[in-house]
Amino acid sequence: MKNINRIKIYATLFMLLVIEIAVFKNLAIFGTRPELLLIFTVFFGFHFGIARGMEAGLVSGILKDVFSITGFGINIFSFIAIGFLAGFLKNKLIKENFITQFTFSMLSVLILSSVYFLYLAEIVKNDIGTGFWKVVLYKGLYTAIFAPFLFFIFTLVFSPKET
Amino acid sequence: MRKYRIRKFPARLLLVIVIIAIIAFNPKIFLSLRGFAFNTLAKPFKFLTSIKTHFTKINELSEKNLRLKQRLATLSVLLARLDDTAYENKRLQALLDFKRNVRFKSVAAKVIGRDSTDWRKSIIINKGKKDGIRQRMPCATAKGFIGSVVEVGSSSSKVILINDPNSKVGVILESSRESGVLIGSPQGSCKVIYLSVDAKIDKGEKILTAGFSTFFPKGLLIGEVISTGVEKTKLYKYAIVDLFEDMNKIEEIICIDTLGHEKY
Repeated sequence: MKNINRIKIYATLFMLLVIEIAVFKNLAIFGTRPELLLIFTVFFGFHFGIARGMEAGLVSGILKDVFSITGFGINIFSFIAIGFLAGFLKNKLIKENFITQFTFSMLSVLILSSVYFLYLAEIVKNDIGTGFWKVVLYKGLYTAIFAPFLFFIFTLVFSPKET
Repeated sequence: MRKYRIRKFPARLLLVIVIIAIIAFNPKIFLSLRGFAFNTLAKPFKFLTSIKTHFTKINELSEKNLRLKQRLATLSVLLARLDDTAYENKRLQALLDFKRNVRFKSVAAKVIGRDSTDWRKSIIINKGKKDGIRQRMPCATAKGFIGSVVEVGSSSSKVILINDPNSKVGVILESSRESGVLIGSPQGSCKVIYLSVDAKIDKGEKILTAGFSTFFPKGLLIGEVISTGVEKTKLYKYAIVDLFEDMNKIEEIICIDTLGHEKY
């Protein structure tokens, strides 16, 4: 595996977080923003394997949790799981195909949202199901549309090579 | 031939002298002739100078154009900043007016960040413990109540907004005096629950904080009713609320110190 500069990874992650929070605040569709950090985690899992996927997931999750009032660890857990899954499926999927990127990104949003649903259902005690999954669908589509473009950019930046 | 030339010479000379004398003794003719001669002789120089001036002017104009363009760009930036400052000034003035009307001491803060997830609704402000911010302090803008402080750092804090799914605020409806609980949702909308099933609630009725708890002062505006309905259990009514403040566009807030001393 090609040796990747960790500073470059963390700087990219931080930049993506800033874009997600500051820029997409004004580009929200149905109140949702695309999960750029999630796409990054999936990309790393797909191209660099389980360990790197989980590492990217860990850092993404920490960044997400720091800037949220969500219970600390929810994002870390979810992102690591998604990084693991992407790394696990590294050689089982045609990761260069944009349909794979689109579908897997949408699936990742579904996994992340399911964790949130369980967490919110536990703390809120009110009925949050109404409209929740509709928003998940918008969020999933919004993220999935961005996935192929970001995969292309990440490929140029990190130039992953097959082992 | 030679004789003719010699004979003609004094005549010509005489003519020239006479002309010079006339010119010399008549300043008007002298000046007009001199002017004519000067103009005629100066024409080629003028032409050359005009070409040079033309090119110099082009250079000067292009430099001036560049300078003006730069100035225009600077002025455009300044104008945009001025507009922004004027708008900020208007907002801060409204916030200051609101702050004056609040009975308690308050701390003004700027919003420096928002929640990184779509399912929770919170903001990060630039004031913390050292500025007197405490947990559960109610926060408001000039338009009304927006939430309360949930996490306090030394110089920044997190504020949970009233449209967060985990937010619950005791509220009262202005004219019907019905009380209920305002809750948020993951989608960012708000509704008042636990309203009595026989309550008569009008569309557009204002919703205020009830002041049942020690933390939230009574009478802070929140929003207005846009529709009502009965819960599935048929035990309570609910009201969908349109918040006065756009939660995605909050820039400055005040945190009210309800546990501190009252101003008056």
